[in-house]
Amino acid sequence: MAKKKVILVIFGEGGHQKEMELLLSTLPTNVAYSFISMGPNESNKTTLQHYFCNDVRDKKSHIKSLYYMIVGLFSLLFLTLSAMKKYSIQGAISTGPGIAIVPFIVLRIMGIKTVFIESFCRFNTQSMAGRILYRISHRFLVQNKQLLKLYPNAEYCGRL
Amino acid sequence: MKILVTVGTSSFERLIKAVDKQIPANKYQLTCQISDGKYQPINHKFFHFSDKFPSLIADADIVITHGGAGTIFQLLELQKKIIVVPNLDRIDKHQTDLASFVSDNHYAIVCNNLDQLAYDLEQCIHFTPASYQKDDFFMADDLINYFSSE
Repeated sequence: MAKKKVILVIFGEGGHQKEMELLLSTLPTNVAYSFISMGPNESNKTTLQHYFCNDVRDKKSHIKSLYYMIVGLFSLLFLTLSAMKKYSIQGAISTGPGIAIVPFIVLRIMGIKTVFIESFCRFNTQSMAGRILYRISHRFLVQNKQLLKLYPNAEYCGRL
Repeated sequence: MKILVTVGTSSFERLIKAVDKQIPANKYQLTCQISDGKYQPINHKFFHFSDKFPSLIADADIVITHGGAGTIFQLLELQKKIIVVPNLDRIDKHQTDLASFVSDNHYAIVCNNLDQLAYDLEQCIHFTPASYQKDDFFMADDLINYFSSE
Protein backbone atom coordinates (compact mmCIF):
# COMPACT_ATOMS: atom_id res chain seq x y z
CA MET A 1 0.00 0.00 0.00
CA ALA A 2 1.25 3.46 -0.91
CA LYS A 3 2.23 5.63 2.02
CA LYS A 4 -0.10 8.51 2.84
CA LYS A 5 1.11 11.92 1.62
CA VAL A 6 1.55 14.37 4.50
CA ILE A 7 3.08 17.68 5.45
CA LEU A 8 5.03 17.65 8.72
CA VAL A 9 4.69 20.67 11.00
CA ILE A 10 7.14 21.15 13.87
CA PHE A 11 6.64 23.65 16.68
CA GLY A 12 7.57 24.34 20.30
CA GLU A 13 5.67 25.99 23.12
CA GLY A 14 4.19 29.45 23.73
CA GLY A 15 4.58 31.77 20.74
CA HIS A 16 5.92 28.99 18.49
CA GLN A 17 2.75 26.96 19.05
CA LYS A 18 0.54 30.01 18.64
CA GLU A 19 2.22 30.79 15.30
CA MET A 20 1.78 27.23 14.05
CA GLU A 21 -1.89 27.17 15.05
CA LEU A 22 -2.41 30.43 13.18
CA LEU A 23 -0.59 28.99 10.17
CA LEU A 24 -2.65 25.79 10.20
CA SER A 25 -5.84 27.84 10.32
CA THR A 26 -4.81 29.81 7.21
CA LEU A 27 -3.69 26.85 5.08
CA PRO A 28 -6.33 25.46 2.70
CA THR A 29 -7.81 22.16 3.91
CA ASN A 30 -9.18 20.80 0.63
CA VAL A 31 -5.80 19.49 -0.47
CA ALA A 32 -4.58 16.04 -1.34
CA TYR A 33 -2.66 15.45 1.87
CA SER A 34 -2.98 15.63 5.63
CA PHE A 35 -0.78 17.13 8.30
CA ILE A 36 1.28 15.35 10.91
CA SER A 37 2.91 17.27 13.75
CA MET A 38 5.89 17.12 16.10
CA GLY A 39 6.53 19.05 19.30
CA PRO A 40 6.08 19.18 23.10
CA ASN A 41 2.33 19.86 22.79
CA GLU A 42 -0.45 18.96 20.39
CA SER A 43 -1.95 21.91 18.54
CA ASN A 44 -5.59 22.93 18.83
CA LYS A 45 -5.91 21.97 15.16
CA THR A 46 -6.00 18.19 15.08
CA THR A 47 -3.43 16.50 12.86
CA LEU A 48 -3.37 12.94 11.56
CA GLN A 49 -0.68 11.99 14.08
CA HIS A 50 1.31 13.90 16.67
CA TYR A 51 4.88 12.94 17.60
CA PHE A 52 5.66 14.09 21.13
CA CYS A 53 9.11 15.40 21.97
CA ASN A 54 10.43 17.63 24.74
CA ASP A 55 11.73 21.12 24.15
CA VAL A 56 15.51 21.01 23.72
CA ARG A 57 15.96 24.08 25.90
CA ASP A 58 15.13 24.97 29.45
CA LYS A 59 14.00 28.58 29.53
CA LYS A 60 15.75 29.25 32.84
CA SER A 61 18.89 27.12 32.95
CA HIS A 62 21.82 26.48 30.60
CA ILE A 63 22.86 23.23 32.33
CA LYS A 64 19.42 21.70 31.99
CA SER A 65 19.37 22.92 28.39
CA LEU A 66 22.54 20.98 27.60
CA TYR A 67 21.08 17.79 29.08
CA TYR A 68 17.76 18.21 27.24
CA MET A 69 19.66 18.93 24.04
CA ILE A 70 21.60 15.68 24.09
CA VAL A 71 18.55 13.55 24.95
CA GLY A 72 16.42 15.58 22.53
CA LEU A 73 18.83 15.12 19.65
CA PHE A 74 18.42 11.36 19.62
CA SER A 75 14.72 11.39 20.29
CA LEU A 76 14.12 13.84 17.42
CA LEU A 77 16.24 11.77 15.08
CA PHE A 78 14.23 8.67 16.01
CA LEU A 79 10.88 10.45 15.64
CA THR A 80 11.80 11.89 12.25
CA LEU A 81 12.88 8.50 10.90
CA SER A 82 9.70 6.89 12.30
CA ALA A 83 7.54 9.51 10.58
CA MET A 84 9.40 9.01 7.31
CA LYS A 85 8.95 5.25 7.51
CA LYS A 86 5.21 5.53 8.00
CA TYR A 87 4.34 8.49 5.74
CA SER A 88 5.36 10.03 2.44
CA ILE A 89 6.40 13.45 3.71
CA GLN A 90 5.88 16.06 0.98
CA GLY A 91 7.39 18.90 2.96
CA ALA A 92 7.98 20.29 6.42
CA ILE A 93 7.21 23.64 8.01
CA SER A 94 8.48 24.87 11.36
CA THR A 95 7.81 27.99 13.41
CA GLY A 96 10.69 27.07 15.74
CA PRO A 97 12.41 26.68 18.05
CA GLY A 98 15.56 24.51 17.88
CA ILE A 99 13.64 21.22 17.95
CA ALA A 100 13.29 21.62 14.16
CA ILE A 101 17.04 21.51 13.50
CA VAL A 102 17.57 17.73 13.57
CA PRO A 103 14.42 16.89 11.56
CA PHE A 104 15.26 19.58 8.99
CA ILE A 105 18.78 18.22 8.51
CA VAL A 106 17.44 14.69 7.99
CA LEU A 107 14.67 15.85 5.64
CA ARG A 108 17.06 18.04 3.65
CA ILE A 109 19.43 15.11 3.15
CA MET A 110 16.48 13.04 1.94
CA GLY A 111 15.52 15.77 -0.55
CA ILE A 112 12.30 16.76 1.21
CA LYS A 113 11.30 20.44 1.03
CA THR A 114 11.70 22.42 4.24
CA VAL A 115 10.32 25.84 5.15
CA PHE A 116 11.23 27.71 8.31
CA ILE A 117 9.24 30.72 9.53
CA GLU A 118 11.22 32.94 11.89
CA SER A 119 9.26 33.92 14.99
CA PHE A 120 7.10 37.05 14.83
CA CYS A 121 8.74 38.31 18.02
CA ARG A 122 11.98 38.93 16.11
CA PHE A 123 12.60 42.37 14.64
CA ASN A 124 16.29 43.15 15.02
CA THR A 125 17.74 39.91 16.40
CA GLN A 126 17.96 36.35 15.09
CA SER A 127 16.72 33.32 17.00
CA MET A 128 19.17 30.47 17.58
CA ALA A 129 17.02 28.18 15.43
CA GLY A 130 16.72 30.87 12.75
CA ARG A 131 20.46 31.41 12.57
CA ILE A 132 21.06 27.70 11.92
CA LEU A 133 18.00 26.91 9.81
CA TYR A 134 18.63 29.90 7.54
CA ARG A 135 21.48 27.79 6.16
CA ILE A 136 19.59 24.50 6.13
CA SER A 137 15.99 25.06 5.04
CA HIS A 138 15.00 25.42 1.39
CA ARG A 139 12.88 28.49 2.09
CA PHE A 140 13.16 30.91 4.99
CA LEU A 141 10.26 33.26 5.75
CA VAL A 142 10.22 36.33 8.00
CA GLN A 143 7.19 38.06 9.47
CA ASN A 144 8.82 41.44 10.05
CA LYS A 145 10.43 43.32 7.16
CA GLN A 146 13.26 44.60 9.37
CA LEU A 147 14.64 41.05 9.45
CA LEU A 148 15.45 41.08 5.73
CA LYS A 149 18.58 43.03 6.73
CA LEU A 150 19.74 40.09 8.86
CA TYR A 151 18.49 37.38 6.48
CA PRO A 152 19.06 38.80 2.95
CA ASN A 153 17.81 35.64 1.19
CA ALA A 154 14.66 35.36 3.27
CA GLU A 155 11.15 36.07 1.98
CA TYR A 156 8.70 38.41 3.72
CA CYS A 157 5.39 36.59 4.33
CA GLY A 158 3.21 38.98 6.37
CA ARG A 159 2.28 38.23 9.99
CA LEU A 160 0.54 35.10 11.18
CA MET B 1 -10.85 50.15 36.68
CA LYS B 2 -10.25 46.52 35.66
CA ILE B 3 -6.70 45.33 35.24
CA LEU B 4 -5.56 41.93 34.01
CA VAL B 5 -1.99 40.75 34.59
CA THR B 6 -0.78 37.90 32.38
CA VAL B 7 2.48 35.94 32.25
CA GLY B 8 1.63 33.57 29.37
CA THR B 9 2.93 30.00 29.48
CA SER B 10 6.12 30.58 31.53
CA SER B 11 6.02 31.75 35.15
CA PHE B 12 7.23 35.29 35.86
CA GLU B 13 7.51 35.58 39.65
CA ARG B 14 9.10 39.04 39.75
CA LEU B 15 6.18 40.57 37.87
CA ILE B 16 3.54 38.96 40.10
CA LYS B 17 5.44 39.96 43.25
CA ALA B 18 5.79 43.56 42.01
CA VAL B 19 2.08 43.76 41.19
CA ASP B 20 1.12 42.33 44.58
CA LYS B 21 3.40 44.75 46.42
CA GLN B 22 2.85 47.95 44.45
CA ILE B 23 -0.69 47.99 43.07
CA PRO B 24 -3.33 48.81 45.71
CA ALA B 25 -6.32 46.44 45.73
CA ASN B 26 -8.69 49.19 46.93
CA LYS B 27 -7.98 51.33 43.87
CA TYR B 28 -8.10 48.75 41.07
CA GLN B 29 -9.98 45.56 40.37
CA LEU B 30 -6.98 43.42 39.49
CA THR B 31 -6.63 39.75 38.50
CA CYS B 32 -3.38 37.87 37.88
CA GLN B 33 -2.81 34.93 35.54
CA ILE B 34 0.29 33.28 37.04
CA SER B 35 0.88 30.14 34.88
CA ASP B 36 2.83 27.56 36.94
CA GLY B 37 4.28 30.31 39.17
CA LYS B 38 4.84 29.37 42.82
CA TYR B 39 4.27 32.85 44.23
CA GLN B 40 0.57 33.42 44.81
CA PRO B 41 -0.64 37.01 45.22
CA ILE B 42 -1.98 37.90 48.67
CA ASN B 43 -3.74 41.14 47.78
CA HIS B 44 -5.26 40.25 44.43
CA LYS B 45 -7.27 37.51 42.79
CA PHE B 46 -5.32 35.03 40.68
CA PHE B 47 -5.60 31.91 38.54
CA HIS B 48 -3.10 29.67 36.77
CA PHE B 49 -4.73 29.21 33.35
CA SER B 50 -8.32 29.74 32.23
CA ASP B 51 -10.53 28.95 29.28
CA LYS B 52 -12.21 32.29 29.91
CA PHE B 53 -9.05 34.20 29.14
CA PRO B 54 -10.38 35.94 25.97
CA SER B 55 -13.38 37.33 27.86
CA LEU B 56 -11.12 38.49 30.72
CA ILE B 57 -9.03 40.37 28.16
CA ALA B 58 -12.13 41.88 26.59
CA ASP B 59 -13.29 43.09 30.04
CA ALA B 60 -9.97 44.57 31.10
CA ASP B 61 -9.32 48.32 30.78
CA ILE B 62 -5.58 47.79 31.04
CA VAL B 63 -3.53 44.61 30.56
CA ILE B 64 -0.12 44.22 32.17
CA THR B 65 1.62 41.53 30.14
CA HIS B 66 4.89 39.65 29.88
CA GLY B 67 6.80 40.31 26.64
CA GLY B 68 5.56 37.22 24.77
CA ALA B 69 4.63 37.88 21.17
CA GLY B 70 1.47 35.74 21.09
CA THR B 71 -0.13 37.75 23.87
CA ILE B 72 1.14 41.15 22.76
CA PHE B 73 -0.04 40.84 19.15
CA GLN B 74 -3.42 39.58 20.34
CA LEU B 75 -3.75 42.64 22.60
CA LEU B 76 -2.53 45.07 19.93
CA GLU B 77 -5.11 43.77 17.47
CA LEU B 78 -7.81 44.36 20.10
CA GLN B 79 -6.45 47.93 20.52
CA LYS B 80 -6.07 47.39 24.28
CA LYS B 81 -4.12 49.64 26.60
CA ILE B 82 -1.06 47.60 27.48
CA ILE B 83 1.95 47.68 29.77
CA VAL B 84 4.62 45.30 28.47
CA VAL B 85 7.08 43.89 31.02
CA PRO B 86 9.88 41.92 29.29
CA ASN B 87 10.64 38.73 31.23
CA LEU B 88 14.38 38.98 31.80
CA ASP B 89 14.28 35.90 34.08
CA ARG B 90 14.48 33.86 30.88
CA ILE B 91 17.92 32.95 29.55
CA ASP B 92 17.06 34.14 26.08
CA LYS B 93 16.41 37.87 26.17
CA HIS B 94 14.32 37.96 23.02
CA GLN B 95 11.36 39.62 24.71
CA THR B 96 13.22 42.94 24.61
CA ASP B 97 13.14 42.84 20.78
CA LEU B 98 9.35 43.06 20.61
CA ALA B 99 9.27 45.44 23.60
CA SER B 100 11.44 47.90 21.67
CA PHE B 101 9.16 47.59 18.65
CA VAL B 102 6.00 48.43 20.61
CA SER B 103 7.69 51.21 22.54
CA ASP B 104 9.27 52.86 19.46
CA ASN B 105 5.90 52.82 17.68
CA HIS B 106 3.90 54.02 20.72
CA TYR B 107 1.72 50.93 20.71
CA ALA B 108 2.20 50.31 24.42
CA ILE B 109 4.00 51.39 27.58
CA VAL B 110 7.08 49.29 28.31
CA CYS B 111 8.16 48.72 31.90
CA ASN B 112 11.86 47.88 32.00
CA ASN B 113 12.20 48.55 35.73
CA LEU B 114 9.69 46.70 37.88
CA ASP B 115 10.26 49.12 40.78
CA GLN B 116 8.43 51.66 38.63
CA LEU B 117 5.44 49.52 37.80
CA ALA B 118 2.95 51.63 39.80
CA TYR B 119 4.26 54.77 38.06
CA ASP B 120 3.95 53.11 34.63
CA LEU B 121 0.37 52.13 35.48
CA GLU B 122 -0.47 55.77 36.23
CA GLN B 123 1.10 56.73 32.89
CA CYS B 124 -0.90 54.07 31.08
CA ILE B 125 -4.23 55.43 32.34
CA HIS B 126 -3.61 58.64 30.38
CA PHE B 127 -1.84 56.95 27.46
CA THR B 128 -3.44 56.82 24.01
CA PRO B 129 -1.82 54.00 22.05
CA ALA B 130 -1.08 54.34 18.33
CA SER B 131 -3.33 52.14 16.23
CA TYR B 132 -1.71 48.83 15.23
CA GLN B 133 -2.44 47.54 11.73
CA LYS B 134 -1.71 43.90 11.02
CA ASP B 135 -0.12 42.97 7.69
CA ASP B 136 -1.74 39.55 7.20
CA PHE B 137 0.17 36.40 6.28
CA PHE B 138 -0.19 35.93 2.51
CA MET B 139 1.88 32.83 1.74
CA ALA B 140 -0.65 30.06 2.47
CA ASP B 141 -1.42 29.17 -1.16
CA ASP B 142 2.19 29.71 -2.16
CA LEU B 143 3.35 27.12 0.40
CA ILE B 144 0.78 24.52 -0.60
CA ASN B 145 1.69 24.96 -4.28
CA TYR B 146 5.36 24.71 -3.36
CA PHE B 147 4.86 21.36 -1.60
CA SER B 148 2.59 20.06 -4.37
CA SER B 149 5.09 20.78 -7.16
CA GLU B 150 7.78 18.26 -8.10
